[in-house]
Order: sequence, then structure tokens, then C-alpha cells
Amino acid sequence: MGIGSWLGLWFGLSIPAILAMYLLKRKFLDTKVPSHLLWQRVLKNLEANRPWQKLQNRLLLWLQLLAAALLVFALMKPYLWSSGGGKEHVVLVADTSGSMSAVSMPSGQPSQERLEQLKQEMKDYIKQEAKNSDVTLLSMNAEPNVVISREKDHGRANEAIDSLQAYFGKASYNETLSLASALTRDESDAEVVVFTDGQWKGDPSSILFQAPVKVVTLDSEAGFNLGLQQFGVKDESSGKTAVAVVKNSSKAAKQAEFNLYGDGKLIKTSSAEIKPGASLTLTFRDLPAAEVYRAELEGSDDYQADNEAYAFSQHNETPRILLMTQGNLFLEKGLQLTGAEVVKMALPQEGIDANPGDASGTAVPEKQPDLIVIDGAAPAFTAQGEWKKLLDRTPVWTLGGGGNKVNVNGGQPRLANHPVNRYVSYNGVYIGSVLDRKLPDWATPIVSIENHPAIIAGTEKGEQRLSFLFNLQETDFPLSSEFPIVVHEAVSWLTESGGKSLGRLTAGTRVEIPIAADTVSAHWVAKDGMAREMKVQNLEAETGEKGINALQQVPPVPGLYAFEQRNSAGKKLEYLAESAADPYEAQWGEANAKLAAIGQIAKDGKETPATTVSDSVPAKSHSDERQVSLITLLASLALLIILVEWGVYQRGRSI
Amino acid sequence: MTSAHLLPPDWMVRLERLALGSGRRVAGTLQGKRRSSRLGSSLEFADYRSYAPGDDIRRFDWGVYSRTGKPFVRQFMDEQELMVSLYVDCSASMDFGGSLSDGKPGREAAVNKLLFAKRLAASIGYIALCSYERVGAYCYSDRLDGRLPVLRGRGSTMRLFQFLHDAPPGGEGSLSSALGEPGAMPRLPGMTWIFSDFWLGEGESAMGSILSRLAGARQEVVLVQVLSPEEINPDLSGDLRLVDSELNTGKEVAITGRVLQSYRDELEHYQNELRKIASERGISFVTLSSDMTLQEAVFGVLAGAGLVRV
Repeated sequence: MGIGSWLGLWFGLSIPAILAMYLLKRKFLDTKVPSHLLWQRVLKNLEANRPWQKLQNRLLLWLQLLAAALLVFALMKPYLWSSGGGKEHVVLVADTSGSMSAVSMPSGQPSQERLEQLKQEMKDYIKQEAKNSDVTLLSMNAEPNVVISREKDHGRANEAIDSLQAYFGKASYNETLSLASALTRDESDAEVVVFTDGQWKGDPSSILFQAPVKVVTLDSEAGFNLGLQQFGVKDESSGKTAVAVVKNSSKAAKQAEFNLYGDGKLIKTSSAEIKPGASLTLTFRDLPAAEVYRAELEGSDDYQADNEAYAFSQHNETPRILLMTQGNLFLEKGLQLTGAEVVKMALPQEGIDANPGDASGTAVPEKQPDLIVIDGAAPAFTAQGEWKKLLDRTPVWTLGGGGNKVNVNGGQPRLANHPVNRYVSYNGVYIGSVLDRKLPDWATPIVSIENHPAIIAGTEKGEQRLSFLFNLQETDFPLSSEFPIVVHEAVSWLTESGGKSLGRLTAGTRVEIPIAADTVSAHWVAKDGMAREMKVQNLEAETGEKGINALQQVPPVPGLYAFEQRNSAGKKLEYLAESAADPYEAQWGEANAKLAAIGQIAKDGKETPATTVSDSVPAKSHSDERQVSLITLLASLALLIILVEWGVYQRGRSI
Repeated sequence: MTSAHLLPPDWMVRLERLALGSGRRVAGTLQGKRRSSRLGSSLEFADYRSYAPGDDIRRFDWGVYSRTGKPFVRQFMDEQELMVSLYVDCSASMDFGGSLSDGKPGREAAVNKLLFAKRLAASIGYIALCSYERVGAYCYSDRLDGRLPVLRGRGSTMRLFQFLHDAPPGGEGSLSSALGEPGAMPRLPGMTWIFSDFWLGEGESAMGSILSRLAGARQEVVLVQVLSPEEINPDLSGDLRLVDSELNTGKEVAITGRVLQSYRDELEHYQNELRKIASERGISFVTLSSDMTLQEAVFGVLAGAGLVRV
């Protein structure tokens, strides 16, 4: 419970006043008369004839009734129409699109962010034009956003205005206007005030209003803006090449200072003069490998949101698998079925390899594979030199190999909870024997038969390791229908580490992100760029009934983000994405001419055909008037009456 | 004030010329100045009648016998005394208005109702005594508080005045219970004057039965209602607790112009009711205000009603 105004407490003074009057009330005066005979008849007649006789001519009663009536009337919150105020309901539409974050120079004033200027204008409007109005504030995000609705407390309205932030995505210009129109449709005394910088996408005049509309366009001069329109990195045979397109949207030629970073390190700089309204394409070749490239326009221009762009080096969409095998058709087919690019490296048959130390003959592959699968005993050359390094930084899957064996005689495998085991049961699979090996430090048995580990998995130095402790040739596992599934799950588990990029996305749009099945929490983390500068907090991922939604909204502030997913074990999986401002916002030009027209339609009284047909609300002529509350007046009157009553009590007479 | 000053001497002189206007011829046992219903031995000629054997020879009219040859005797009116009973209401309600110590009757201030009533009674009694009537006086409240034996002749004036003067104001007044007492009713036919404000708790119906009883006792009744100006036209205002002088009970009334108006209406209604009851029985009813002078009361109202004759 809250109390709107403590001022009303003053009227509480009437309570002791009334008490005092009753304490001081005069009694009936004793008057001796010869006989009651006639008086009794008089009173009897009066009372019998008129039951309300007692109510007549009692000034006190009438005064008290009047006071009570006034109080009741005051509680009804009466008001008068009085000219020169605001409407009863004012809907403020704030253009919070990305262009509002630009710095502009209002004539004769130091530079100021347009949004701040807009906030000031809005507060001034509430203060001057909408003193006694209910305020509704709409801002634009991807959807119209009702910040406050019919707020009477202007302090809170000002707080709400202060909380407005620029939205860099595709702002819902006309949808917001449409909502404002809908909000004022059935109201006779409302107005819509649109605060904008004139940068307005679409045709606002197509929206029909029944309430008067005012458009407040910020008085600002467009400064200069250089924007990165496009930026990309591509792999070519000669190396990586970056291409950037820079546009000058101002009316003067500008010198653009361009910096290219790779994973945070400055790689290249460039400088070029750009003509007004022209675009310049910058190309950089032979770039060193990096995960994320960042292009940056140096120097301050008036609109910061388009001064940076990111590009991600292209990952292989299909994992490359190096299969070392003496020949295993099932495994080879299984790997190919995962969609991977399988490079088979035939190993000589055991025993034929007479020269175990001959590592030099087998060269390390030029491109690092995403996964190395070793079927059977690992060749000797893998234990040393470049091969060892390669194996150390690549996920490895070994199957079988030499060593002592333990007979398990086709016992039923027991499965641990592991991604590789996700869709399999090993039902009806015969495994005669498993290798009896000492488990390495990283290993955790994920499948065991009669307490002998059959499959082990783990992470060594940040790389995934998976070992099948049985030879595929010695089981009927490849014949079972589950085998390709196990291979698929194994490959996706082994190759899943490392970031994947989602690319360049417009802020506020929705993007489909693969959510791992075991993810328990996910959020957007600002990694770099404007988002980092503005210290954007981690944004929790949207969740639905079935956990985290696959369709996520890109954070509204431009910059580099990582969508981090964590599973219950705390393992992190992240996707990198760049949130980019809506390119429309950077195209500074003339203000939208149709913006002025929305006010015109309502002012001219040209109502929509729909309105004329429905003939709903007759327009009241209170357009320039405002309501003045009578509560204070009524309360004062009631107090005055109580004072008059005091006088009546003093006289001790009823009339 | 002594009893002699109940009536001023010059006023008594004027009263001597008056006679009570009783409409009835009464038969008394003693000779009086009042004409009797019977024929008798007065000097006033009444009629002729034929002579019958045994008639008083002295009444035989020889002149007529000589002219007509027929024997006639002359008849004369009989003159007899009248029994006048004066009842003065001495209840608390009568002791109201003005002050008892007001020596002079005059217009300056309304005198006490009881005093005014006593003066009226004294005036009527004096007229009766001067006319050789027999006068009995009673004062009552809810019972007969005092009675004066029958008086005759002017010499009894002082006794009457003394009795009236000494009659104290009593408590609650009730005419019916007072007259219900043994010996309260006049034994002889005659005239009965009742001086009261007639604020009777029992109401008009009781009044009717009393008057019937008095009529049954062959009384010619005169009701004199004595009211103070405050009662006729109350000058009250504000929220008042009206205290009954007899019962000492209070009644809270917010006096307004409307209430006063309806009081006046009610008073008129009450007086009309009494007047109606009286006239149904051939009884005179007059209303006097205690701010009247005795002259206005006697020569104006009473003489105007034919109760007093010059």
C-alpha cells in the first residue's frame, strides 16, 4: 500500500475540530413553562405529521450534510476543463533507433548525444505541456516497447525517460506509431507526441490517428560519419584476403584511417581519402591466420556503431579426418557417413613394417586434420617428432591395438553417461575380449563389460581422446545397426571443441544457434568492440518450456559476442557472433518528409474511412484544454463549512 | 399587600353599580334582589289572573273589577337571592408570570396569573355581595384546598378578600378530582364561576363530564380562562428543555418559527375545543390575558359576554 500525497493529512485536523465541537456543544436550556399540555400536542402533531420534521430547519444538520457531500464529491475527483494545459493522456513516442546514439551539434550548443537531447526535450515537454497528464512512453526495439503506461507520477516518468537507450537493431518505427495510434483510439482526450531525429524508416503517414499528433524533430546538424559497410575474410590459395568497404555519408571528403586486427593484434593499417557520399573498397592480402579479424575505422566520427566490423576465418564446415588403418571398410564407411572428409592413410600390415624407426618416410599432413583415427596398433612413427606434436594437439580416436586380452565372453556392456553413448545400447553386440591395458590418466571408462573397461574417453591437454579397447574385427559390433551412430557421435564429440562462428548478424534479429543437448545455461558475453566499451552485462539466453530456445536474439549493442553454453560438468561451448548495427541508421540524409504528414492528417480532421463508418467517438472540443482538479477547492470548502458549524455550535441554536 | 388591597377602593366603587348577568331565574329561600322564576311579592308587576277563592284580598284589582265586572288579581315578580360559587384554580401552573407583589393593577407588566384570577374572583364576589347574593368561594388544586362558608351582604367583603388573598398556590391541578370531593359541589342551584388556565392533564373530555355534573347540580357555569401573555404568544427561541411547572418533567424542543406557529394554532384549537364543550351545555367561556387591566377584563370582556350587567 502506498500513499499518493501526504498533503491530504492536513485535512485530518478536521477530526479533532469536530470532536472539540461536540465537547463544547451547548445543552438544551431549561425553561419553565406552566404546562406541557400544549407543547406535547404541538410536538406530537409535528412529529406525527412529518417524520422528517426533525430534519427541517436544522442548520447544523444541513451544514454537516453539505460537508459530507463535499467530501464525497471530492473523492469523486472532479475536475474542470481549463484552457492552456495538456491532454489527459499523452503518449510519447521516443525514436530510440541506432541513429539516436550519434553525436550531433544542436545549433549554438556543444555537441551532445542525440539521445540525451531527446530525453531533455521529452522532460521539457512533460514539464510544460503535460503538467497534469497521464504519460505513456513508447520506445522502439525490435518490437514496440511500452516503458510506462498511463503514469501519473511525473517523477517516475522522468526516470523512465532517463532509462531509454539506443537500440541498434532494426527499429520498429511504424509498429511503434501503430501502437500509439491503437492506444489513443478510444480516448477522447489524448495526444501523441513523436520525438525523433527525423531518421525514420518507412512511411509513417500511412498510420491513421484519431488523436492529434505532434512531431518534435530534434534540431541538430548532421556531423560526419564514416562507416564500414562490409568486411570479410576469405581463404584463397595464396592465403587469407580481407576486403572492407568504407563509406563516407557526410557532405565533405574525409580521411579514413583503417586498422585491421587479427585476434587482437594489429596486422595492417591503411589510410585513404573518401569523397562525400562515396564508398572505398580496401583489400588486404596475405594475412596471417587468426580466429577473428577486426576492422576498425580510427578517429572519432559522430556515429560510433558502424566503425567496427568483424570477420571470422572460415572453419571447415566438414571436419577432416585422418584415418590410419590397415583396412577397415566398416569404419571407413562409418566415418564417411558423418559427412567428414576422410583421408585414409594405409598402414602396412603388422609384421611387414620392418623398419619401425622410419618416421621420416611418412610426412605430417600439410593441413592439420580435425581428427585422427588410428585403427589397430598405432604406428611407431606417431610416437615421436612432428607426428607426436600433431597428435598432441589433435583429437585422437584409437580402436583396438595390441596387448593382453581379457575374455569377457560376450557379457552385456554397462554404459556410463557420455555423449558418445547417447543413442546406443550395445544390445546384442558380442564382444569376445577386451584389451587389458593400464588406463591412462585422462581416461574414464564409458563402456565396461564385467568390470573391464571397453571404451574409455577423456581430455588430454585440452584435446579429446577416445579409445575402443577392442578390435573391431574381433566383434560383430560393425554389423549392428548402432555402429554408424556410435561413429557419428564419436566424431561429433571429438571434433566439437573450438569455437564456431555465427557470422555477422544485425543486432536484435533472431538467429538459430545449435544448443547442445546437455546445456544447462547459456548467455551472451560481450567480447570486444562497442559492446565491451559500453560494458554490456552478460545476457541470459532466452528460455522456453523445453529449456534454452534454439532461436536466440542477437544482443542489441553492436560488438563481438560469444554465445556461451555450459553443461552440468561446467564444460563451455561457445559460438562467436558479431552484432552489427542496422545499416539504415548510418545512412544520414534528409529527414523523412512524410513524418510531418502524420500530424497533418489528424489536425485537418480528415478521419479515416473506418472512423467515419464506425462513427465511434465524437471529437470533443477540449483539444486545447486540460483538466483542473477540484479536490483542493472542495476540501477547503468542507473545512470552511466545519468552521461555520463551529459558529453554530457557539450560538447553541438550531437556526 | 394586605387583603384590603386585593382590589383598589376606587375599583370597588365602580363595581357596586354592577350586577351579575345570570340568565336564569332562580328560586331561593331568602329574599334577594334577584328576580325569581316564581311570582312573588316584589314591587314589579308581572301579570293579571282571574281571582280564585282563597287569593290574597289585597292583590284584588278593584279598578279592573269596576270596569269589566270580572274579578282579577294582580301578580308581582318574586325577587330572590342568587347562590354564586367562585372556584379559583390555585395549582402551580397558575402561579406563573409577573410577580405576586405587584400592587397596582396596570398595564406596565403582566401580573401573576393567580393574582389576576384572585382579583377577578374578588371583583365578581364583590359584585355579588353588593347585589345581596350569597357567595361561596373555593380554591382548589388537585383537591379542594380551602372553602369559604357562604357569605351574605357587603359586610362579608373583607372575609372574602382575606380568603382569596390567603389562598396559597398548590401543586398539580385537577378540576375533576377537586370537584369530586364530598361537599365540593354547590348544594344550591346558582351561578358557578371557575377561574383557571384549564391546563388539564385529563383533557377536554374530562372537562365535559365536570361541566355535566355542574349542570346536573343546576349551576349556571362561567368558565374564565386566565392566560399569561407568555402562554398566548410564547417568546421562546433556541434549543430549550421546557420544564412543566406542575410535573417538573422536561421536554426538549428546538424552537423554530414553525413550532411557535403550530403552538399558536394548537392554543386556538384547544380554546375552540373548550368553547365548543361549553356552548354545547349552554355554558359561557371567556378567555382573559393576565396583562389586561381589571377594567378591560370586567367592563370589556365579561360585560361584553353579558356576564356582568351595568
